[in-house]
Amino acid sequence: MKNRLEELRKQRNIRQEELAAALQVSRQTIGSLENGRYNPSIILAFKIARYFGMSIEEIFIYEEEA
Amino acid sequence: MKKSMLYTGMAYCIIGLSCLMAAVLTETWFDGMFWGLFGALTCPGLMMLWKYFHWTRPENREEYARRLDEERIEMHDERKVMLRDKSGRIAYLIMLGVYCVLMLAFSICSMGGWFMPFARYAVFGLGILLVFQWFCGIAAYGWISKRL
Repeated sequence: MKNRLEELRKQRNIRQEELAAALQVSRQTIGSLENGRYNPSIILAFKIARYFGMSIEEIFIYEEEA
Repeated sequence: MKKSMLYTGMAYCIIGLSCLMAAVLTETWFDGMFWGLFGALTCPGLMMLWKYFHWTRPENREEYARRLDEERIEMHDERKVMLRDKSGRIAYLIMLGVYCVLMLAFSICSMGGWFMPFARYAVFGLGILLVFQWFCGIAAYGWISKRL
């Protein structure tokens, strides 16, 4: 699943550490999310969406596998 | 720092020192065990006491709060929880394989008459461990499945 997390974070000049602290997760989790290596739980997805004031669909892009 | 750390540390030290007294003052075949318990209880007890007094000092309180917060995040971070679960699963499978290989190796030893009677007992013991681990896996799965 692709996401716009890195783009949104950089737009707002937030460091990974700051975002991690705000979401109560580790910095490595933010790194893995941004690289697309890890898909968040629905709870974390909601927290991220709330943090950026957007909907989940605006941040996470689900593409069905062919 | 929680008071329980102080009380646990004191209890460890008291029991450890009691074991030392028992080891020094008595001459039974328990002596080795008492010496072992003295070391095993007193060292962690002293560590707990040191931790308690170190982290309750006013100049260390802020750093301790930061560490606690960091530890809480590390413990509940969902990616790390997933990694712990996956690594546990891998370790479980590896151990099943290791038991099978060791059982095979000791069976061959047993047939050849080497390391007897240890080889025979080892096959028996490893077999019990293999079944127990497999059963624990199934039981844990069933228990978790019922809760979800």
